[in-house]
Amino acid sequence: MDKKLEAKRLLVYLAFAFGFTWIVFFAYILSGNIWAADGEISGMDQFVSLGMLCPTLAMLLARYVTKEGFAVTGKDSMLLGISFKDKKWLYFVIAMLLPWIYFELGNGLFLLFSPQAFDADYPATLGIADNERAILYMQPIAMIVSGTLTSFAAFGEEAGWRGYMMPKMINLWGVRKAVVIGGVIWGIWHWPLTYVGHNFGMEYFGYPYTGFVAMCIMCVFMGMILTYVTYKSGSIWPAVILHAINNASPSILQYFINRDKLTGWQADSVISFLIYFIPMMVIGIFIFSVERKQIVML
Amino acid sequence: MAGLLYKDFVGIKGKRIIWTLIGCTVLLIIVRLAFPGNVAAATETGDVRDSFVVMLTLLFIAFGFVLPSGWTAAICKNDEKYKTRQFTRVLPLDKNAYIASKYIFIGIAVYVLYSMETMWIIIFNSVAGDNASRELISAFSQFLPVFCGISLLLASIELPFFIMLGVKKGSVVKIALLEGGAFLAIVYLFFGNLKVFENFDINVFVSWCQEHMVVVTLYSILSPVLNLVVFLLSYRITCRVSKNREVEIDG
Repeated sequence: MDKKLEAKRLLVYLAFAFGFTWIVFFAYILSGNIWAADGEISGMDQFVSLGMLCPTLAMLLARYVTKEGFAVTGKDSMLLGISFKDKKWLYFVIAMLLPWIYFELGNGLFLLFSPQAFDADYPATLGIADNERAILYMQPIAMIVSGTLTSFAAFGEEAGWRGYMMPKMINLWGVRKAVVIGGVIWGIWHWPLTYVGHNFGMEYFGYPYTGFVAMCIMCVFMGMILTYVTYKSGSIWPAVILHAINNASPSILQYFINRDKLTGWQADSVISFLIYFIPMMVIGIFIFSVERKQIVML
Repeated sequence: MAGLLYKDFVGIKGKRIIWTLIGCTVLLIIVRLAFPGNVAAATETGDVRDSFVVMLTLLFIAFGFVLPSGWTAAICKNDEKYKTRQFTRVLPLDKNAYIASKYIFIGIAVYVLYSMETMWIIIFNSVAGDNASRELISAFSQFLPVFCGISLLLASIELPFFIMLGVKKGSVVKIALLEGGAFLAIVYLFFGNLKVFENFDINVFVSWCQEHMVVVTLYSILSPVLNLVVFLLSYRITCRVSKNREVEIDG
């Protein structure tokens, strides 16, 4: 393997990925937009989310510019193939169920820290009548189905980050360093949107810097799980599905958490975000401590 | 398998289609940014049909729904022309690989088109403002999975006929089925209860959906799953019948 060429390809990819996406993000910011300014995600917010497609565009251009080719499966490919042989179907099931598990555990953990936030009548405040409570219990499955169907935006990211950047980084630095550096880079990529309130809003302690750090931490641990399912299945699709369902944040408990009841540090969005994601981080560390060597071998 | 899929991609003139889809997306972005808001709302006519952008978006989406049905015939016709199926029999491929490739190709095509349609709706909504046309398109977007499900169901019916009987005979069966449907519709027009349509109001339907959110949620979960199950069943049946036919031919 030519490490110099691999590094060059990685740099070309990163330049395109950051260049394209940040043009979109900065155009959004400079035209005076703020994420969910009226409390709801606007049409323009959704439109700027299409920036998620830029890593795929960057991957395709990097392959074209560096003459790497566009193999669909196999070594140095775009990892687009799907195989269910050798129990690989298991990683698709994991991808579908894992976000629900860690979000539910995360919300449970959050309620342990802030029990006063539990509000059995909160669904009514959200406009869900008592006779419609069944919706709440169906919601995670609905999120899994709709997340899987509408996974093209997550595909836009994963084809670039897990399908191109991570294999290059693992070849260059080994899996441990690659996951940390790759996660931080992925987190930094989100910064312009974090600055205008995506994920945490704009009223938290240490805005925007604590938000920037929290985003990188989340991306490192999330990256561990996504890299794991990609390598074990030999395909980016489980990562795409997991990412899409993660973005839909399936959980029943979330509909019983009334954040208006919180004060002080408990109301801080960055702190609660990190608490929500503790189970996901534990899962990420567990998977990596057990399976890291296998990923190196692949 | 990748080779078989690529062959089908070439068979439907895939590159041209990709550039057309990208062109549609760029055109929609330009038109949307050139005409922000809603023309009808600006002129206070209250008639959303005035909006060129609404029509353009709906036209693209309709275009997206029609395509897969054309492709099922096109990929099978192309294989007949180049005798691809006979050729794959001498290749070291799984015996169901050929049939699987057809189903996978249409599955991918429906996924890509669904993604494009979702993207077009996002582009439409970007600078639509709060007005009737945005509500219309947003309501319409709720039915996108249903329409894509129909595309998948149609393919589930068409593909077995095209694969097992050939495009010519398969088309005859397809037309016969369509004519059967049309005949039933005509029978309903003559003898059915048409009063149901007299007071049809889309707002009543929207209100019904809002009042029966449990049913709508359940439907949104079950319909894609059921569509996929039917699609898989269709594949299994085609493989089974195809295998039996080969046994008969080989004696």
